[in-house]
Amino acid sequence: MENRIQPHWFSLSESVYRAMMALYPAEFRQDYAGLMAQAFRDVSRETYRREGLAGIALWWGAALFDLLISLIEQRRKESFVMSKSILPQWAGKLLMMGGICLGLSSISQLELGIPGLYLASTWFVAPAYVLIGFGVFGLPARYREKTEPLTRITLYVASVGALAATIGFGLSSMGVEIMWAAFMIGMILHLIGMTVFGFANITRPILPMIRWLPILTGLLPFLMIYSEQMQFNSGQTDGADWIAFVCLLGAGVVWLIMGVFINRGAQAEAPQPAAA
Amino acid sequence: MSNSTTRPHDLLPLTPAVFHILLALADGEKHGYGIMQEVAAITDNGIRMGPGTLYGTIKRMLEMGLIIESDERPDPALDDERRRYYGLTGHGQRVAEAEAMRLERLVSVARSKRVEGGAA
Repeated sequence: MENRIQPHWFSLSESVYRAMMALYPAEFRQDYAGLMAQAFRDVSRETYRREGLAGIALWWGAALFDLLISLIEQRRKESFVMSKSILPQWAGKLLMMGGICLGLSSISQLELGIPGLYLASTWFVAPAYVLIGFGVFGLPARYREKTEPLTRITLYVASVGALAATIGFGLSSMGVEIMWAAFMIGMILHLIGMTVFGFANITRPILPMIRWLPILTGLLPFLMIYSEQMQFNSGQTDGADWIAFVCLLGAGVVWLIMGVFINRGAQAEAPQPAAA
Repeated sequence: MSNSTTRPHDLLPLTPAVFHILLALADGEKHGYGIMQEVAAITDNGIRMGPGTLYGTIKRMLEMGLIIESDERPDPALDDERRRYYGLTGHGQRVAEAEAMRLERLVSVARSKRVEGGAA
């Protein structure tokens, strides 16, 4: 079992870790990204040698938690000098694209029997949650003056959860079955984060024009998971596929609408020519 | 940039991450992964520092003048020359000693109040 892992898993794993470093402030990334990746690789090799795949899965969990904590610290230190950064400006566009990908992935729930369609539509989940993860990460900086510390933390949890879920989804689809747990944990963190943010947006709206929408990005996928669980428990298949399809499609549409509003706001805030 | 003129006691108490890194470097220069291994060893694997915490703390310690990046490199044949090595500064050494003394005093108080580990 343990010997099945090939060296390319290490480079894939390191590449994913390196990609996540895009979330750090540019200055920190420039100085330490290479060294962090090297340390991550060293620990991965040693952990695999001593503890096998289970150890790697645990190490990934610890590394993600470490990443989240140090990210919050570094971002706080850099005083969120994000107005010049790309993520807040691109948050709306990323969420729009993520919503479209999530909507396309909903086709997989219909099980239409068309060869290749299920696989192709399922794989849209990965880009969907990468785009959504990065888009959500840009929101605290985008709405820096409107968000409270707790709201920012829920958004960061939702963002890192989405990215962790994507990694878990990718690796479990490629045969590392234990990473399915990473997908589930990441997804639950993401959904809890978005649901809490959704509640906060209703009571003290950060996005007043769409105050009831963000909560649906958490609740609709929860409803989908619930319906699938009910389907699994009861053994009945009638109707449940459609519920899952509608929930996932609905979540995709909600992300798309949110993205449009956020992007429109970004364009409206763009510097205007000075009045004469 | 360096705050090495700050009195050691002004920096106390140290965060666990800073103190563990100071301890890891007390017996010589090490690279990042070496520090992670040493911290795991001195805490009986109780603390497994992640890369983010490690380099975030190293950045802060460099700014505080507690550690310094070493110019010397080991024989490239023996080690990866891309690694960066870190060592304690005199200021870092004094801060580590001050923190150790502070903890020692606390342990003395704990003993006098019979709350030390294994006293029950």
